[in-house]
Amino acid sequence: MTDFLEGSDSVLIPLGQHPLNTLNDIGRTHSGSVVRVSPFCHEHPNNQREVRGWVMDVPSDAPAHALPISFNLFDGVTVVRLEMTEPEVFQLMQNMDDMKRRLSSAVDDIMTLDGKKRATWARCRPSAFPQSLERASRDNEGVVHFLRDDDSAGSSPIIDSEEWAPELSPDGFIGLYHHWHRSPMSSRLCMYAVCQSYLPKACLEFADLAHQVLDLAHQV
Amino acid sequence: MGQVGASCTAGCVCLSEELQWLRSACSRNRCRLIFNVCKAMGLRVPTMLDYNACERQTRMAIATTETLHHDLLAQRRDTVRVLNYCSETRRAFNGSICVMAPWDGVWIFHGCMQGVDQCGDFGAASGNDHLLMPTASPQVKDRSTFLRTQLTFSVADPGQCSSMQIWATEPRPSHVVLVQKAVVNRDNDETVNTDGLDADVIEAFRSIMFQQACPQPFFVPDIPGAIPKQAHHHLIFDEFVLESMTKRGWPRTQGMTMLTPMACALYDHWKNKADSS
Repeated sequence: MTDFLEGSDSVLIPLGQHPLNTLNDIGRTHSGSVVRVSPFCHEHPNNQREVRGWVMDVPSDAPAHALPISFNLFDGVTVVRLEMTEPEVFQLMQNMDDMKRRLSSAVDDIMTLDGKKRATWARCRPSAFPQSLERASRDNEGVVHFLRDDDSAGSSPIIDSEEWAPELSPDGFIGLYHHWHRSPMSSRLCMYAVCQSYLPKACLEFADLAHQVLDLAHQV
Repeated sequence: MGQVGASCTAGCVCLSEELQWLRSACSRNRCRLIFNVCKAMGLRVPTMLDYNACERQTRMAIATTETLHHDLLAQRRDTVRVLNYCSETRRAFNGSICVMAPWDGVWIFHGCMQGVDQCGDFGAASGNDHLLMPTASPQVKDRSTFLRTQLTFSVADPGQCSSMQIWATEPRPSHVVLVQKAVVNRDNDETVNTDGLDADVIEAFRSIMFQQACPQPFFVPDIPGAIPKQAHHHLIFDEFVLESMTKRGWPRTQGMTMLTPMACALYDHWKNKADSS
């Protein structure tokens, strides 16, 4: 049963029956959906046996429950090139233990969330925004309307209503990296900071919200 | 929302304020984390004000590039696209990031370099192509399943890698097979093109990297019990894999940048430390 799958025969790592069934289940949620498998698609060896490496196209007018919303939506990686000179990078490399100790201390402070407020939509939602899923309603003819804040729609900056503390998520990391950049004109040793993370509580909150929509749709 | 019911479509979710806020907040979260760490360590990083923050003086790092493992996008022709551990080259604003094994670092596949000559710039989007790039090196539980393929895996208990060892428990030598130092040194030689550089600087660099290098790649013999149960097996993007990508349309001549790890703090290490204490 691979009716909804494209590209499953060209994966580098052969897929077992479980990931194939999972992908088919994802594609089956809506008849107009198509799931394409990346060559790097595989079953991740975690407890959830998550299938990673696929793309799904869903018609915009499909019911919301056709979307597979994960608990870590927008998990990603950010790279920042630091403004460090070569001698400074060399100096750091020669004191690697000290660098690790300082990195450890810095991240320890971040990970200690005692008393810090975590990001959630319910708490930090911007006071002004043009469209809202939560405040939408349907009229007698079945047309969906979004409420608008006329004072701010379109032009005002979107500002969080409450402050939140940055978080390193499960599976996340933050590290320091280097690379020799070579070009015909010059060469340079550059240092980078890389972070992989998402906002666990806010992402879970959104997944719950989406599932509430899903449940309601099923009830209707 | 309760009034929306079945009328709530995939398009509504994709364009909703909750989703747009979450996307932005997750990105700002990473930039704030980098800023906070760099500030605490005294490292200079390009910064800007977080204009969306409630506290007006909140600062964050300016991202050189960014790639998402999970994304939800409104496409043309009335389609919503869900991306899972894939990124589209046409949306990449400065290369496409792929996270390798922690000890192998982070690779950035370049985009189109036309008109770009600045050091460290990884290239713009590749026109209208729809190439899908991996955002992370695939992991498998048991590499022995793939012995008949041409795939190669890099394996280690993450706690063994010296550059990762910030909160890890003490190394367990029986859990990892280290390669000879000569092999490590030769590998480093291959990754750094030293033509035309100051010999003393290169020697100093090599010396530091040799002392601090992770023992990579990890060659583990196929002996029952030689590989620990907790070991992570990451696909190595070797010639076979890169060639496969090229056959599928990746313009290899655009190149890639391999960022080598110096020190990295993994959430799992912190969790292990917190659990043990």
